[in-house]
Parts: sequence; C-alpha cells; structure tokens
Amino acid sequence: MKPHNKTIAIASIVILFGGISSSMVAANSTRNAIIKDFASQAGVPLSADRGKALFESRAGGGKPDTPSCTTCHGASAMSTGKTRAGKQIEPMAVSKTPVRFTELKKVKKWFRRNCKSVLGRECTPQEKGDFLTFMSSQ
Amino acid sequence: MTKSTLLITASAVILATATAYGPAMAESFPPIKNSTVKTECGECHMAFFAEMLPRQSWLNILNDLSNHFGEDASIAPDPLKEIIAFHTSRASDVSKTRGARKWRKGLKKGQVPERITTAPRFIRKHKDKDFKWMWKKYKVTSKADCVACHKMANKGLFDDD
Repeated sequence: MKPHNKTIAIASIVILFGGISSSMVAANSTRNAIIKDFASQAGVPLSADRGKALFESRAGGGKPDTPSCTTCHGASAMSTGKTRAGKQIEPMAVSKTPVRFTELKKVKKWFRRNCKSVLGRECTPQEKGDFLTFMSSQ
Repeated sequence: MTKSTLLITASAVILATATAYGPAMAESFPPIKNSTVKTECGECHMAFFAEMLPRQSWLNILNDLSNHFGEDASIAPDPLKEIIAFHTSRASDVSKTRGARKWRKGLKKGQVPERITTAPRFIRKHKDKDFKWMWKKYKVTSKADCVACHKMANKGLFDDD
C-alpha cells in the first residue's frame, strides 16, 4: 500500500468510527431527553429497580394473553423476544439494541399499546421513566 | 431436424418457458411499497397482503385495532386512514390480481372471514396432516408467522411449499 493510500485508509477509518460514535452520542442524548421529560412529569427521582420490577411483574388487569412484559419480550431485558404472531423482538436493553427509546413517537406509541395490553391502563410518567431508566442501565 | 435436436429444442423451450413464467405461476402478490403499511403492520407480524381478505374483513379488522386478536394494536388516525385505503383498494373482492382472484375463490356469498387463517384458501392449503408435523418442525408458534415456513413470504412468494 502506498503511503498516501495508507493515510486515506486511516482517515476513512477515523471518519467511519467518528461517525458511528457521534450517532451513538446523538442517540444517547435523545434518549436522555425523553427520560428527563418523564422524570420532570413524575416529580420524583426515577428508579431502575422499580423499572425492573415493572418489567417482570404479573400484576394482571390487562388482556389475558399478555399478563407481563416478559410474555413477549422474554425473561430479561437482554432476551430476544417474540411477538404473539411469531416475529422476533430485539432485546429491550440499550446495550444490546442501541437504537432503543430514541424516537419519542415510537416510545409513546408502544407505552400506550403495551401498558393497556399488560396492565389494562395507561402507565404513569413515573412508571415510564423507571422502565426506560432500567432498560438504559442494561 | 433430427430426432435428438428436436428433443433438445423442445426441452430448451420448456425450460425457458418455465424460467420465464416460473414466478408468475407462483402465488405471488405485488410487493408492498407503502411505507406506512410496511412499518405499522410489519412491526408485530409480517405485513400481510391485502389481497388475502375481502374488503369487509379489512374494515372489521382495521376499525378494531385496539382489540386486535387479543392485543392493543391501535394506530394514530392519519396512518390508520392510509392503511384502510390501502387495504380496501386491494382486497380480494376488489383487486384484479391473480393473488386476489385465488383468495376470493371459495368465499361464500357475504362471507367475511375474521382473519386470514380462517379464509377458505388458507384452510384448504393447510389442511393436510403434514402441516401439523411441519408446524412442529419449524417451531411455528403462530399461524400468523408465514415466514416460518414460506421463507419468501415477505416478497409475496408462497409457492415454496
């Protein structure tokens, strides 16, 4: 490899990784903004432990086919899940699926649907914030 | 023309015809290009083909998405409107495509299947004993999971059975 080709190759790698890491920084800041918004609505500090408990709970009140988040998402935040129609669901944990919770519209849509399916009601801002805090820590 | 050249020519013609018309002979649906339909319908299951059910079935399903076969699958008003228009204009009793024609065949007058798996064509095509075995083999947890067996179902091709 000619020296200038080598320089170009190194520069490309730097640009590529720079691009990846800056998009991850952007993703993290969008997610943090979403969580911060839930925190201010909740008015209390958010808790990853409460989020974990919510994810695993079988509180009832929702539709009989979906007694818990884990019914479809798998036993843990790291698990790959499966919809009732058989389609794979990528893990909820941010470390496994970095694009999670970076689009407010999508976050709102799925909380609306899944809280109703599992709990039979909307989730509170605190529950939503706890849930996202837990998933971000995983 | 000798006998053997005739045979070769005939085989070539048959082969060429089979290759050229192969995909058309298969049960194919036009691929879904609408991005709203692809995303909104395709998040929990493969975006099914509108040509599989009559218009009224889609109206019943899409107007009751908050109770979608046991789940809340409700969609915001604007995308919902787009999805309803898409499905009702391509329904089995509306579309002129080959797929639609096949799926409306066997429907009794006024019959409105609740879901694709209760449409006459689905039942007829999956009634053999073999399917129980296949569903087990491919670990099919839901009959809605077409791609478990029909690997190219997403592209509208179901002729791999």
